[in-house]
Amino acid sequence: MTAEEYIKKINEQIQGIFDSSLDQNKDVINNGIDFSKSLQTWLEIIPEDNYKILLTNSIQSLELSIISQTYCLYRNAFSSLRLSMEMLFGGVFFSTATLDFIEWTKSSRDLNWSTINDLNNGVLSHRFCNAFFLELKDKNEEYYTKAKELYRDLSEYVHGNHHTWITESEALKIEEKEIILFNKSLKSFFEIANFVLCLRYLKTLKQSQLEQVEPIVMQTLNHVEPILQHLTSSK
Amino acid sequence: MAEIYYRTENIRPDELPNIIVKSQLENEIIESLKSNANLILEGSRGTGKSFLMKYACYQLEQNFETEKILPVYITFMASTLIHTTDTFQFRNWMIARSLRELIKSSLKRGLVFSNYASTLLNTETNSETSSLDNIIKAYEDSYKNPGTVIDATSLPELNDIIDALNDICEQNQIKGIYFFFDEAAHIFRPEQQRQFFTLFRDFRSPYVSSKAAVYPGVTHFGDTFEGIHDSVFKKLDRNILDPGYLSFMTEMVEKQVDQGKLTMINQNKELYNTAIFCSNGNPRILLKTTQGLQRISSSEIDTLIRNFYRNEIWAEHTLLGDKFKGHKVLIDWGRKFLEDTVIPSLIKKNFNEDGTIRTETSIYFWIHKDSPIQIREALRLLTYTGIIRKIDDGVKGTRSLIGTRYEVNYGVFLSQVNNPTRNSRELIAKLQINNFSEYGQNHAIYSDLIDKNIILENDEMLVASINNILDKSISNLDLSDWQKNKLINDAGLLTINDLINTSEQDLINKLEQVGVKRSRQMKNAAYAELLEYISG
Repeated sequence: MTAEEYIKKINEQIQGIFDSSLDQNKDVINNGIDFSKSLQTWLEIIPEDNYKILLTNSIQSLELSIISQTYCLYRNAFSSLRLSMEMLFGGVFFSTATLDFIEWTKSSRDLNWSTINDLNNGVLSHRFCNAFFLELKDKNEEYYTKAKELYRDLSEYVHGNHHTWITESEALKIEEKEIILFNKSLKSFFEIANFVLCLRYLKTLKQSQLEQVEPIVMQTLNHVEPILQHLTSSK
Repeated sequence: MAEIYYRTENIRPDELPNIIVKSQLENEIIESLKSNANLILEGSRGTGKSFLMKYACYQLEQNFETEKILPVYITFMASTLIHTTDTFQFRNWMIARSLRELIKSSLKRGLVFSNYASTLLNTETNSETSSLDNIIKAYEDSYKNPGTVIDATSLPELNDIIDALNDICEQNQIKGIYFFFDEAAHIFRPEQQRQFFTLFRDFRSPYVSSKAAVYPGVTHFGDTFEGIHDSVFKKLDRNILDPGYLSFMTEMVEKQVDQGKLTMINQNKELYNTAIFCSNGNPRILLKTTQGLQRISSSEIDTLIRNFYRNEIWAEHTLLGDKFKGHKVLIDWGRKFLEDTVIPSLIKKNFNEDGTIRTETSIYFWIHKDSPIQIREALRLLTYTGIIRKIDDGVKGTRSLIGTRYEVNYGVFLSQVNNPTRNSRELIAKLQINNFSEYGQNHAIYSDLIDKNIILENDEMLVASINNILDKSISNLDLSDWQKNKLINDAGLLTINDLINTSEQDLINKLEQVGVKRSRQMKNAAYAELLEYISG
């Protein structure tokens, strides 16, 4: 068997389990594409700026994570989801840090998770909150912690921690445990992403734009009173 | 302390099953919401309409794979078109908004009725725009530029939309698309409400149905909408005299309060029951008042009743004045009527002079069916916040006169009684629905309101609109031709304003064959025209 034949065999094996994986991942696919479409709506209404490339990258990475998930490439799925998260947080962070963004485009600066999700200066910091949506000051810390925990969970797959390896049998197979965990992570990211975008942009939106994002925001953040208040009082 | 939810908007969908309590009433409403009938669900603020709607949606979503019913929940919260005076644009906005929500709901279920912006696919998918996308775009274009004239013939008709939805259902093996309009009518003006209910009636096919939650008293269905024929009508009212009332409300509280508070409630059940009765079957009020209780003792509950039911509950009623411009006079009169006339009269009815309770008690009153329209309007507004509840029409009073029976919110009544907690149990036990105070066709207390100018607004636009109505000819009124002829030719009254400024007695004096009844009818028609406008 040549190297190419070997890779083709793997592809056959993956294709073989793809259909039943689609069925098992129905929720993941629906949630993921809904999420992607929601981010695209946000992207449409956020004012044009160079840093938005990171938000586009985030969507792309999100969709790649879903496709990896349906191919049972779980590690890739979790890694891509983490990258999507980094891109989204990074984009919002750069929205207020042009110099950092320019350095990033010139590869002279890395996107560092501990910088973009820092309680003092990151996108869920009190500083961001004070500047963009003061009424969320009792909530930002909760989402900061949620984001931190989700990032740590996803990182376990990137770092290859022991429990992330499928060791009992073949490496490529449908794993219910992974599907449940991925779906949970996806939902959590959806909520966090919406919160980050609300914190940064909701107050800057015009009425017609608010109307566009209202169904998206209400889907995950209906319990966050200041956001609900803002949507309601704007009518 | 556990988080108490008293607004459905704050509850995450997956928490709904943990906190719902269902009696036969709730079960019936949920089943109706999940059926393919067009449904109007009426209830005062805080009775749980949104909760039941959300729960029905949640269940349909959970069972989508087997039942194939797609629920679409619409709240109209951030709405640009709410203030438009162009009804054509308003209707189009409603349609576009509903269809956008449909797309959102379909996405959640993995059904594609719209194209993706395609981030990973290299092919251009946007070229094949779906029919629903076309429809939404056409409708959105029609309202995005207020003032510009839109060629209505270029828009898809409602039938085309329904056909598109039917196709979607057939193509995706969906058995139904159910639209849930939560509090939609509430934020619209009367003219918009009529538009909404016309759309609500016409937006119907074997696959498509709609449900709307409305408040009592402040909803205008319009002439073309016939409740009985066009929809199933359900009321979300809980009667404090129902045998299961206490256990139902207690269970609801048990699901939300923390252990400490629960122990406190269980140790003082009898006292807490007074608070439950006072809430008059309104979960939001009960949860709110329970959250505020630090201890449960007679004095604590008495203080709660006095503070909440004498003051706070009225605050919401007063807010109506801000929401519905021009209502202030009606709102103030309604409160005065209840506090200075109805409740004192009920207290006399319930208590002997020595302070003991009579053999039969009452929280009910009756208003003659031909009372002035301003009076009925003021009472209608009191039903919105649940301060009173309309029980039934066509009730016989003294001398077989016919009228409407109302119930005073038990908490509001009890707040005016000495030693509320001490007297509550006996008052409740002796309540008799046929025991009511009566207010006849021309009760003296009405004159306070009838003599007042009900227009106090200084909003220029509103005044201009009202002047337009006042200047309208009497021929526009909802009266018989004979009556209009009498007013115009015999009394020489030309405009609605002329009629409003003429007293009933003058009409009787000037016009042959016009007595007490007809003069009231004529005046009522003039006020009806005006009130309908300022109701929004």
